[in-house]
Amino acid sequence: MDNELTGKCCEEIEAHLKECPECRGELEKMESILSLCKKSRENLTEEEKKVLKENILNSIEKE
Amino acid sequence: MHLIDKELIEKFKNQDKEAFSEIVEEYSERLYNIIYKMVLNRDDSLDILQNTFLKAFKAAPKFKGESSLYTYLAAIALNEARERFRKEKRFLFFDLDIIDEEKNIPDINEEKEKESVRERVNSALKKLPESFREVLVLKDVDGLSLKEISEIANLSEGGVKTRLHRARMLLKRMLNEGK
Repeated sequence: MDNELTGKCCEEIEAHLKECPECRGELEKMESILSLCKKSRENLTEEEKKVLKENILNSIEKE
Repeated sequence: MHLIDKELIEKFKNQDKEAFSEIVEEYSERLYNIIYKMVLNRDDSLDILQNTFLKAFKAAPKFKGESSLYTYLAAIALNEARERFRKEKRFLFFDLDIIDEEKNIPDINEEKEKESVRERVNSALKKLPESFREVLVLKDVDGLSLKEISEIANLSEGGVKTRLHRARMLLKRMLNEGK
């Protein structure tokens, strides 16, 4: 799920998931939640980016 | 996407304004995203973002390059967000007994889907304790590795894993309650 496991441990988990519908269901639920998290990104408008950059550069100039 | 290269980092350490301007452009939206998920308020997030960059610029000569520039900036941003919580006494305590009733998210058309997802996730995040929210935002919203999060949160990788697991379980519960 996080691509943080490698080797034997990962293989064992994958083998278990193939045989256990309950764990597979839990994994699918968690993956859909993580997908929601990724889709929930906040964005800055172009105007906000411009104002932010100007404010930062002006503050730096003053110092 | 522009990659922050070694030359740019050297210029950053020398407080080169042009290089810094490139860094602001490169990372502002990504940092804004994690700050917003912590404070859940647009004006505060913009203010914290600006302070983050100003602090990073002042401290630039001390940047040793042991972590990536982004990790360094994210650590400053999260410290700023934590301070903001403390100053305004806006700690969000977690108490299962006082969870507000969630509003139901109605069926929505495609154009409004993103906004609805944001509302749903943010509303659930709001109910997580700060330390849980932090690792969850860094891992599952921003996509940092456990190692990078351990550097930012000052925890062992094992500690991050444990906290992340608990945070995900809570988030799952909050999202289910919000349906």
